Amino acid sequence: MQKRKMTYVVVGILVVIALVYFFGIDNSSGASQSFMPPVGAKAPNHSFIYASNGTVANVSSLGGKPVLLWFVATWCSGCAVGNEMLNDNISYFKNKGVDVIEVELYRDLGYSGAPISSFVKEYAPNVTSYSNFRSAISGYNLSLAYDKDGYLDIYYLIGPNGKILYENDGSLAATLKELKSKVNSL
Amino acid sequence: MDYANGYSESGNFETFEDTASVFKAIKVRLIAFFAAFFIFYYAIFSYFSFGLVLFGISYYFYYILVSSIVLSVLASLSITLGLYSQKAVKGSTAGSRSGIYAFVVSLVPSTMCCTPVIPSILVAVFGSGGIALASGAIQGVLSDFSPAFILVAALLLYYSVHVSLKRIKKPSCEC
Repeated sequence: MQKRKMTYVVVGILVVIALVYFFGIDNSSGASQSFMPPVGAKAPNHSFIYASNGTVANVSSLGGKPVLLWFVATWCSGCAVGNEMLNDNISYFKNKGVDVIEVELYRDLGYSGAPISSFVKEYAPNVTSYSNFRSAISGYNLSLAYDKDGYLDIYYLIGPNGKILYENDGSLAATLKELKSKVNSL
Repeated sequence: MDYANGYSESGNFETFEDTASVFKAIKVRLIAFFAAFFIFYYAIFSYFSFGLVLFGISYYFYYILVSSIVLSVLASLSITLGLYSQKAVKGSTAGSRSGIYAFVVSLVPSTMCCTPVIPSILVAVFGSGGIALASGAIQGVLSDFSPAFILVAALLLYYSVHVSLKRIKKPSCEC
Protein backbone atom coordinates (compact mmCIF):
# COMPACT_ATOMS: atom_id res chain seq x y z
CA MET A 1 0.00 0.00 0.00
CA GLN A 2 2.82 2.29 1.04
CA LYS A 3 4.76 1.47 -2.12
CA ARG A 4 1.70 2.08 -4.29
CA LYS A 5 1.23 5.54 -2.75
CA MET A 6 4.87 6.35 -3.34
CA THR A 7 4.55 5.18 -6.93
CA TYR A 8 1.59 7.51 -7.46
CA VAL A 9 3.54 10.42 -6.02
CA VAL A 10 6.61 9.71 -8.15
CA VAL A 11 4.49 9.25 -11.29
CA GLY A 12 2.70 12.52 -10.46
CA ILE A 13 6.01 14.35 -10.20
CA LEU A 14 7.20 12.88 -13.50
CA VAL A 15 3.92 13.88 -15.21
CA VAL A 16 4.27 17.45 -13.93
CA ILE A 17 7.89 17.63 -15.11
CA ALA A 18 6.86 16.23 -18.51
CA LEU A 19 4.02 18.77 -18.80
CA VAL A 20 6.32 21.63 -17.93
CA TYR A 21 8.91 20.42 -20.39
CA PHE A 22 6.37 19.88 -23.14
CA PHE A 23 4.42 23.11 -22.70
CA GLY A 24 6.64 25.35 -20.63
CA ILE A 25 10.01 25.29 -22.30
CA ASP A 26 10.30 27.76 -25.12
CA ASN A 27 8.95 26.89 -28.50
CA SER A 28 11.92 28.20 -30.39
CA SER A 29 10.89 26.45 -33.58
CA GLY A 30 8.16 29.04 -33.95
CA ALA A 31 5.66 26.43 -35.03
CA SER A 32 2.21 27.89 -34.65
CA GLN A 33 -0.29 26.28 -32.32
CA SER A 34 -3.79 25.42 -33.42
CA PHE A 35 -5.25 28.09 -31.14
CA MET A 36 -3.40 30.83 -33.03
CA PRO A 37 -4.63 32.30 -36.31
CA PRO A 38 -2.37 30.76 -38.96
CA VAL A 39 0.63 32.43 -40.54
CA GLY A 40 -0.40 33.88 -43.91
CA ALA A 41 -3.95 34.59 -42.78
CA LYS A 42 -5.38 38.08 -42.49
CA ALA A 43 -4.79 39.32 -38.95
CA PRO A 44 -8.16 39.29 -37.14
CA ASN A 45 -9.45 42.82 -36.80
CA HIS A 46 -10.46 43.67 -33.26
CA SER A 47 -10.03 46.69 -31.06
CA PHE A 48 -7.70 47.65 -28.24
CA ILE A 49 -7.07 50.77 -26.19
CA TYR A 50 -3.77 52.61 -26.19
CA ALA A 51 -2.63 52.94 -22.58
CA SER A 52 -1.01 56.32 -23.08
CA ASN A 53 -4.14 58.26 -24.07
CA GLY A 54 -7.10 55.90 -23.95
CA THR A 55 -7.60 56.01 -27.72
CA VAL A 56 -9.46 53.04 -29.15
CA ALA A 57 -7.76 51.51 -32.20
CA ASN A 58 -8.07 48.30 -34.13
CA VAL A 59 -5.64 45.94 -35.80
CA SER A 60 -6.56 46.93 -39.34
CA SER A 61 -5.55 50.52 -38.59
CA LEU A 62 -1.94 49.38 -38.05
CA GLY A 63 -1.32 48.77 -41.76
CA GLY A 64 1.60 50.24 -43.67
CA LYS A 65 4.41 48.97 -41.49
CA PRO A 66 5.30 45.63 -39.96
CA VAL A 67 3.91 45.43 -36.43
CA LEU A 68 4.91 43.21 -33.55
CA LEU A 69 1.76 42.49 -31.52
CA TRP A 70 2.88 41.06 -28.19
CA PHE A 71 0.34 39.78 -25.62
CA VAL A 72 1.31 39.87 -21.94
CA ALA A 73 -0.07 39.81 -18.41
CA THR A 74 1.43 42.28 -15.97
CA TRP A 75 1.83 39.78 -13.11
CA CYS A 76 3.86 37.44 -15.29
CA SER A 77 7.60 37.15 -14.58
CA GLY A 78 8.35 35.82 -18.07
CA CYS A 79 6.66 38.88 -19.58
CA ALA A 80 8.79 41.10 -17.34
CA VAL A 81 11.91 39.38 -18.67
CA GLY A 82 10.59 39.93 -22.20
CA ASN A 83 10.31 43.63 -21.39
CA GLU A 84 13.91 43.72 -20.24
CA MET A 85 14.92 42.13 -23.56
CA LEU A 86 12.73 44.53 -25.49
CA ASN A 87 14.33 47.41 -23.62
CA ASP A 88 17.69 46.34 -25.02
CA ASN A 89 16.37 45.71 -28.52
CA ILE A 90 13.83 48.44 -29.19
CA SER A 91 16.36 50.39 -31.27
CA TYR A 92 16.81 47.28 -33.45
CA PHE A 93 13.08 47.21 -34.21
CA LYS A 94 13.11 50.97 -34.80
CA ASN A 95 15.95 50.63 -37.32
CA LYS A 96 14.09 47.81 -39.07
CA GLY A 97 10.92 49.91 -39.29
CA VAL A 98 8.93 47.58 -37.04
CA ASP A 99 6.33 49.01 -34.67
CA VAL A 100 5.91 47.23 -31.36
CA ILE A 101 2.60 47.11 -29.52
CA GLU A 102 2.64 45.42 -26.13
CA VAL A 103 -0.91 44.41 -25.31
CA GLU A 104 -2.17 43.55 -21.85
CA LEU A 105 -4.46 40.54 -22.25
CA TYR A 106 -8.14 40.99 -21.48
CA ARG A 107 -8.49 41.77 -17.75
CA ASP A 108 -4.91 40.59 -17.28
CA LEU A 109 -6.20 37.02 -17.78
CA GLY A 110 -8.45 37.25 -14.75
CA TYR A 111 -5.93 38.37 -12.15
CA SER A 112 -5.22 42.03 -11.60
CA GLY A 113 -1.60 43.07 -11.93
CA ALA A 114 0.03 46.47 -12.31
CA PRO A 115 -1.29 48.80 -15.03
CA ILE A 116 0.47 48.06 -18.32
CA SER A 117 2.12 51.50 -18.43
CA SER A 118 3.65 50.99 -14.95
CA PHE A 119 4.72 47.49 -15.91
CA VAL A 120 6.53 48.77 -19.01
CA LYS A 121 8.08 51.66 -17.08
CA GLU A 122 9.43 49.25 -14.46
CA TYR A 123 10.96 46.65 -16.79
CA ALA A 124 11.55 48.52 -20.04
CA PRO A 125 12.08 52.16 -19.10
CA ASN A 126 13.76 53.09 -22.39
CA VAL A 127 11.07 51.91 -24.77
CA THR A 128 8.58 54.68 -24.03
CA SER A 129 10.94 57.23 -25.55
CA TYR A 130 10.82 55.38 -28.89
CA SER A 131 8.11 56.37 -31.33
CA ASN A 132 7.75 52.79 -32.57
CA PHE A 133 6.59 51.48 -29.18
CA ARG A 134 3.15 51.68 -27.61
CA SER A 135 1.44 49.78 -24.85
CA ALA A 136 -2.22 48.87 -25.03
CA ILE A 137 -5.07 47.05 -23.32
CA SER A 138 -6.93 44.28 -25.08
CA GLY A 139 -10.66 43.98 -25.46
CA TYR A 140 -12.22 40.55 -24.98
CA ASN A 141 -12.59 39.86 -28.71
CA LEU A 142 -8.94 40.68 -29.46
CA SER A 143 -7.70 38.30 -26.75
CA LEU A 144 -10.17 35.66 -27.90
CA ALA A 145 -9.11 35.96 -31.54
CA TYR A 146 -5.36 35.92 -30.95
CA ASP A 147 -5.04 33.92 -27.73
CA LYS A 148 -8.20 31.94 -27.12
CA ASP A 149 -6.33 29.39 -24.96
CA GLY A 150 -5.06 32.08 -22.62
CA TYR A 151 -1.34 31.51 -23.11
CA LEU A 152 1.01 34.11 -21.72
CA ASP A 153 3.71 35.95 -23.58
CA ILE A 154 2.82 35.12 -27.21
CA TYR A 155 3.34 37.36 -30.20
CA TYR A 156 2.55 37.95 -33.85
CA LEU A 157 4.48 39.77 -36.54
CA ILE A 158 1.94 41.36 -38.85
CA GLY A 159 3.03 42.58 -42.26
CA PRO A 160 2.24 45.93 -43.91
CA ASN A 161 -0.51 44.17 -45.87
CA GLY A 162 -2.25 43.10 -42.65
CA LYS A 163 -1.31 39.44 -42.95
CA ILE A 164 0.39 37.42 -40.24
CA LEU A 165 4.03 36.90 -41.22
CA TYR A 166 5.27 35.07 -38.15
CA GLU A 167 3.98 34.00 -34.76
CA ASN A 168 5.29 32.26 -31.69
CA ASP A 169 3.70 30.93 -28.51
CA GLY A 170 7.11 30.71 -26.86
CA SER A 171 8.10 33.66 -24.74
CA LEU A 172 9.53 36.75 -26.44
CA ALA A 173 12.63 36.59 -24.27
CA ALA A 174 13.34 32.98 -25.26
CA THR A 175 12.56 33.36 -28.96
CA LEU A 176 13.88 36.82 -29.74
CA LYS A 177 16.62 35.35 -31.90
CA GLU A 178 14.08 33.63 -34.16
CA LEU A 179 11.98 36.78 -34.32
CA LYS A 180 14.97 38.87 -35.31
CA SER A 181 15.87 36.33 -37.95
CA LYS A 182 12.38 36.73 -39.41
CA VAL A 183 12.53 40.52 -39.21
CA ASN A 184 15.92 40.48 -40.96
CA SER A 185 14.38 38.55 -43.83
CA LEU A 186 11.63 41.13 -44.44
CA MET B 1 30.13 3.77 3.98
CA ASP B 2 27.18 2.26 5.82
CA TYR B 3 24.83 4.90 7.12
CA ALA B 4 23.89 2.70 10.02
CA ASN B 5 27.43 2.22 11.28
CA GLY B 6 26.88 4.57 14.16
CA TYR B 7 23.81 2.65 15.15
CA SER B 8 25.23 -0.84 14.83
CA GLU B 9 28.46 0.08 16.57
CA SER B 10 26.85 1.81 19.48
CA GLY B 11 24.12 -0.79 19.61
CA ASN B 12 21.89 1.45 21.64
CA PHE B 13 20.27 4.53 20.17
CA GLU B 14 17.98 4.97 23.13
CA THR B 15 20.83 6.76 24.83
CA PHE B 16 22.47 8.13 21.71
CA GLU B 17 22.24 11.90 21.85
CA ASP B 18 25.34 12.91 20.06
CA THR B 19 23.82 14.55 16.99
CA ALA B 20 27.25 15.64 15.88
CA SER B 21 28.32 12.06 15.23
CA VAL B 22 25.20 11.52 13.09
CA PHE B 23 26.12 14.52 10.99
CA LYS B 24 29.68 13.28 10.78
CA ALA B 25 28.42 9.99 9.39
CA ILE B 26 26.23 11.65 6.74
CA LYS B 27 28.52 14.59 5.98
CA VAL B 28 29.71 13.58 2.52
CA ARG B 29 26.28 12.67 1.18
CA LEU B 30 24.77 15.70 2.86
CA ILE B 31 27.15 17.98 0.99
CA ALA B 32 26.59 16.11 -2.29
CA PHE B 33 22.80 16.29 -1.95
CA PHE B 34 22.98 19.95 -0.95
CA ALA B 35 25.04 20.78 -4.05
CA ALA B 36 22.67 18.83 -6.31
CA PHE B 37 19.53 20.41 -4.83
CA PHE B 38 21.03 23.89 -4.86
CA ILE B 39 21.99 23.63 -8.53
CA PHE B 40 18.54 22.21 -9.36
CA TYR B 41 16.53 24.83 -7.48
CA TYR B 42 18.71 27.73 -8.56
CA ALA B 43 18.54 26.66 -12.21
CA ILE B 44 14.75 26.18 -12.15
CA PHE B 45 14.05 29.40 -10.24
CA SER B 46 16.41 31.41 -12.45
CA TYR B 47 15.00 29.93 -15.67
CA PHE B 48 11.49 30.99 -14.71
CA SER B 49 12.66 34.33 -13.23
CA PHE B 50 10.95 33.30 -10.01
CA GLY B 51 9.66 36.28 -8.02
CA LEU B 52 10.72 38.94 -10.53
CA VAL B 53 7.38 40.75 -10.56
CA LEU B 54 6.82 40.24 -6.84
CA PHE B 55 10.20 41.53 -5.64
CA GLY B 56 11.34 43.64 -8.58
CA ILE B 57 14.52 43.66 -10.64
CA SER B 58 16.76 44.71 -7.74
CA TYR B 59 15.72 42.08 -5.20
CA TYR B 60 14.36 38.98 -6.92
CA PHE B 61 17.88 37.52 -7.23
CA TYR B 62 18.11 37.45 -3.42
CA TYR B 63 14.71 35.76 -3.25
CA ILE B 64 15.92 33.05 -5.63
CA LEU B 65 19.19 32.68 -3.75
CA VAL B 66 17.66 32.50 -0.27
CA SER B 67 14.86 30.17 -1.40
CA SER B 68 17.35 27.88 -3.12
CA ILE B 69 19.65 27.76 -0.10
CA VAL B 70 16.89 27.16 2.45
CA LEU B 71 15.19 24.47 0.36
CA SER B 72 18.50 22.80 -0.51
CA VAL B 73 19.68 22.68 3.10
CA LEU B 74 16.40 21.22 4.31
CA ALA B 75 15.95 18.83 1.37
CA SER B 76 19.47 17.46 1.67
CA LEU B 77 19.03 17.03 5.43
CA SER B 78 15.66 15.38 4.85
CA ILE B 79 17.05 12.84 2.41
CA THR B 80 20.29 11.99 4.16
CA LEU B 81 18.75 11.80 7.64
CA GLY B 82 15.81 9.86 6.19
CA LEU B 83 18.13 7.30 4.62
CA TYR B 84 20.21 7.14 7.79
CA SER B 85 17.18 6.60 9.99
CA GLN B 86 15.69 3.97 7.68
CA LYS B 87 18.88 1.96 7.82
CA ALA B 88 19.29 2.48 11.53
CA VAL B 89 15.66 2.04 12.45
CA LYS B 90 13.16 0.07 10.40
CA GLY B 91 9.68 1.54 10.44
CA SER B 92 7.63 4.51 9.41
CA THR B 93 8.40 6.52 6.28
CA ALA B 94 6.25 9.50 7.26
CA GLY B 95 9.23 11.82 7.08
CA SER B 96 10.16 10.82 3.54
CA ARG B 97 6.55 11.25 2.38
CA SER B 98 6.45 14.81 3.64
CA GLY B 99 9.80 15.38 1.92
CA ILE B 100 8.29 14.36 -1.42
CA TYR B 101 5.22 16.57 -0.87
CA ALA B 102 7.57 19.42 -0.02
CA PHE B 103 9.49 18.90 -3.26
CA VAL B 104 6.27 19.14 -5.27
CA VAL B 105 5.00 22.17 -3.33
CA SER B 106 8.33 23.99 -3.75
CA LEU B 107 8.14 23.66 -7.55
CA VAL B 108 4.47 24.54 -8.04
CA PRO B 109 4.68 28.35 -8.16
CA SER B 110 7.76 28.53 -10.38
CA THR B 111 6.71 25.89 -12.91
CA MET B 112 2.96 26.45 -12.97
CA CYS B 113 2.90 30.23 -13.23
CA CYS B 114 3.57 31.90 -16.56
CA THR B 115 3.86 28.61 -18.43
CA PRO B 116 1.21 27.05 -20.67
CA VAL B 117 0.62 24.16 -18.25
CA ILE B 118 -2.42 25.62 -16.47
CA PRO B 119 -4.00 27.13 -19.63
CA SER B 120 -3.60 23.74 -21.35
CA ILE B 121 -5.30 21.95 -18.47
CA LEU B 122 -8.15 24.50 -18.43
CA VAL B 123 -8.58 24.19 -22.20
CA ALA B 124 -8.63 20.40 -21.92
CA VAL B 125 -11.36 20.57 -19.27
CA PHE B 126 -13.43 23.63 -20.24
CA GLY B 127 -12.42 24.38 -23.84
CA SER B 128 -10.96 27.53 -25.38
CA GLY B 129 -12.05 31.07 -24.54
CA GLY B 130 -14.13 31.81 -21.41
CA ILE B 131 -12.44 30.19 -18.44
CA ALA B 132 -9.18 29.72 -20.37
CA LEU B 133 -9.00 33.51 -20.69
CA ALA B 134 -9.19 33.72 -16.89
CA SER B 135 -6.32 31.32 -16.19
CA GLY B 136 -4.56 34.21 -14.48
CA ALA B 137 -6.86 33.66 -11.52
CA ILE B 138 -4.73 30.59 -10.78
CA GLN B 139 -1.38 31.64 -12.23
CA GLY B 140 -1.46 35.14 -10.75
CA VAL B 141 -2.14 33.73 -7.28
CA LEU B 142 0.78 31.32 -7.68
CA SER B 143 2.96 34.26 -8.69
CA ASP B 144 1.90 36.58 -5.87
CA PHE B 145 1.83 33.96 -3.13
CA SER B 146 4.96 32.05 -4.11
CA PRO B 147 6.67 32.85 -0.77
CA ALA B 148 3.84 31.01 0.98
CA PHE B 149 4.50 27.92 -1.13
CA ILE B 150 8.21 28.09 -0.33
CA LEU B 151 7.37 28.48 3.36
CA VAL B 152 5.03 25.46 3.30
CA ALA B 153 7.67 23.40 1.48
CA ALA B 154 10.28 24.45 4.06
CA LEU B 155 7.95 23.52 6.93
CA LEU B 156 7.23 20.10 5.38
CA LEU B 157 10.95 19.50 4.97
CA TYR B 158 11.57 20.65 8.52
CA TYR B 159 8.94 18.17 9.71
CA SER B 160 10.65 15.43 7.68
CA VAL B 161 14.03 16.27 9.26
CA HIS B 162 12.47 16.46 12.70
CA VAL B 163 10.84 13.02 12.34
CA SER B 164 14.07 11.44 11.08
CA LEU B 165 16.10 12.91 13.94
CA LYS B 166 13.50 11.76 16.43
CA ARG B 167 13.63 8.22 15.03
CA ILE B 168 17.41 8.19 15.14
CA LYS B 169 17.53 9.39 18.71
CA LYS B 170 14.69 7.20 19.91
CA PRO B 171 14.11 4.14 17.70
CA SER B 172 11.24 2.89 19.83
CA CYS B 173 9.07 5.92 19.11
CA GLU B 174 6.14 5.49 16.73
CA CYS B 175 7.12 8.51 14.64
